[in-house]
Amino acid sequence: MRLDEFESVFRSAVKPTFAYAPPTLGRVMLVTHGEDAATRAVEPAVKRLLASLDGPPSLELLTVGLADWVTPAGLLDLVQEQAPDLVVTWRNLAGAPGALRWDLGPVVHALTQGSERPVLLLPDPHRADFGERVATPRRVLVVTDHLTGDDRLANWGVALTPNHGHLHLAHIEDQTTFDHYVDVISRLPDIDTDRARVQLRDKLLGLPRAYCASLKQVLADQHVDEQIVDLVELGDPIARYPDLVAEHRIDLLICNTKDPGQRAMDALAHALAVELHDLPLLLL
Amino acid sequence: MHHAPAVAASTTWIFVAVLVGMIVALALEERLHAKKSMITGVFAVLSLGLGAALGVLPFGDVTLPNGHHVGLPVYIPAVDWEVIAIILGASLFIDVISRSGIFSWMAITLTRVSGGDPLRLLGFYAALTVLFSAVLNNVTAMIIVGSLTVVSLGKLERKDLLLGFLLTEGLLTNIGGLLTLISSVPNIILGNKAGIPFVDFFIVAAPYALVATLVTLAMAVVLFDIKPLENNEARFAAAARVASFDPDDGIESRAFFRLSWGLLAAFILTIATTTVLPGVRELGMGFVAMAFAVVAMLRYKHEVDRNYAALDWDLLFFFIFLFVVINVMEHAQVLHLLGGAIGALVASGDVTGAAGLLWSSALASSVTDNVPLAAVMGTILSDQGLPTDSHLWWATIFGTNLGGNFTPIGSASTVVAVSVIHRQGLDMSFLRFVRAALPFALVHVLLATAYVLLVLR
Repeated sequence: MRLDEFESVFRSAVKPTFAYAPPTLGRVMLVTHGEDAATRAVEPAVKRLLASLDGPPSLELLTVGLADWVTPAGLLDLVQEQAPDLVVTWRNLAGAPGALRWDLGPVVHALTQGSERPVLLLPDPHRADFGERVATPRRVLVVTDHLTGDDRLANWGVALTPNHGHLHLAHIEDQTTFDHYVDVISRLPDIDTDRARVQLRDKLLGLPRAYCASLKQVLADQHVDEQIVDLVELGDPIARYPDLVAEHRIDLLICNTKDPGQRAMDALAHALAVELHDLPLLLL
Repeated sequence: MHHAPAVAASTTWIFVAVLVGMIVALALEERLHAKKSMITGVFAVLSLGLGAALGVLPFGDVTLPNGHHVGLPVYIPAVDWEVIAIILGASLFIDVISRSGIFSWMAITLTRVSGGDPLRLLGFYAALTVLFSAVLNNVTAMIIVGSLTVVSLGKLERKDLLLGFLLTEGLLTNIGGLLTLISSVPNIILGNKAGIPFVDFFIVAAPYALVATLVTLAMAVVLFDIKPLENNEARFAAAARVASFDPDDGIESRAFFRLSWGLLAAFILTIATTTVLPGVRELGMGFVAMAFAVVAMLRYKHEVDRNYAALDWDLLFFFIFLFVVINVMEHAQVLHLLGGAIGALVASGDVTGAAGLLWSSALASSVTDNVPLAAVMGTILSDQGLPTDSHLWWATIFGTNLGGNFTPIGSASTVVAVSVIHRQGLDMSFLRFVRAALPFALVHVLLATAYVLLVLR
């Protein structure tokens, strides 16, 4: 029976589409360990970084120090109470400086896994080049491979990219997993391995490309003047994203951390957050 | 071929038992876990063996139109090769051009145009089912429209409508199957036996198909409670969902896509004019179908084995073996015996004869395959010397096509409809199908009876 064949034809015809819904920002909570010269530089830097976002003319920036929350659990309570649209902090807040390179610290873990609020993770404000690193982003990279058609990620990317800026939508399909499935297929006599390899690759990469095409079309219809670059390929995501960041001189990276199994924060998002420690990251 | 020897009545009754056995076995196809071709194959071998043993088969040379004699096995001229050529050629042709994406393009374009409104969607899918059943075979039409229905209602999150949609489409395949001479196998067999030209067939069948489709749609809307979207918000959301369907997704080559439209139009035009085109008229519709299949296959000339593999060989061998069985039955005087009974029915009066033929064909088709019935009836009516324009031909054509709507095993396309329903995890037992389909099937047959008696008689 060719039922399955035609169901596949029609399922294939359903393309992921982008729905334009830019986020608005009213209240931002800046989480610090306490006030010093370095942290005082964070507020204006955050305002510069968020300059492209829609929101009230004057952004309400609420700064909370260690004395306000004491423990990560206390911070989560505070976040729930204040209900900010965005939480801003940096890696290994109030942690040992030696762990900076290898860990994100308990505050970031608590915020990404215990709260639904978006988290903007900044480079350490004590760095000498902090001001250069946290500026209005001209080149934004959105990691969309967690979920094709994740409009939330793309909408934040669109909102944070200024007019005439470059928005990169990246989808790196894991080559190792792909090779593993093709290897299994090569052991199934009913399936032509070469055809399966080509068709599987084309479909895996075709869906994110279709999503990018839809996003370009929707933004053109909305007269949003941004340069959209799609980066869709097979490869090693953990190795490839830092390369893409360097190749395209990315100023801000956006990725997903909220999935039911918390897989993102155990895998790609965590790895990127650790690796790209000198880059602002928006963890949604 | 030599004339068959006289047949004893007891011998004829032995073959009646064989024929009844085959019809019962076909009705129990699912329970026997045997394909149709295997069932008819077994009975073809049995019939030939018995025919040879009991001396009812006329062995000897076959005389050709030019007077030459040629030695052929008795079962070769038993097969109606024109019918086989039409089915084989049309199947190959449709399979090749469907790879261009024209049918999925048409189906998806209509889905988008509907804006996702259930009422409009049902109307469009009904029209599509009838159109595809007329051009393709009923099973392929049901597979295409049924699978699109599953995907589109899933996308619209309206799976609650699935049962009503699929049932309506399944019933409409048998209405669409009436539309042209090549829309269904009973049409091909009976139309060829009667000598009805393609255009004449369409002119007679189209008004009925149109009215029956509209009535079916109206009944489906009421019985399955299908309502239009209530407000602009719902309309906007549904339109956005169906807009994500890309009609061009299945098109590999624009050039072949356009060529396929041209070939399909030329195919329909040539089939429609076969009886008036010099040369083509003599070669017949089987030649036209095969010729178009060969031309279309040039596109995939390096991999035609894929087209051959896609053929429904079960169906083709089913017909071949069936023709052999029917031919043996003819020699065994079984058809003469049945013809006597049918002759009595026909002789019972102009009205009762036609109505009786229509209803008995419909009821017989509802429990077993309509192809053997069409083959038997075609031979019997042809032997009775009915004129081409006799309304009795049409009573049989309507009956054999529409009987399939009474039960889920009545026609191959309703079997497909039920399979689609089961694949979606929906409950559809034999009795539930009969309860749901009975009002439709009764109306279809009543409408056909009225049409045959009031318009065609």
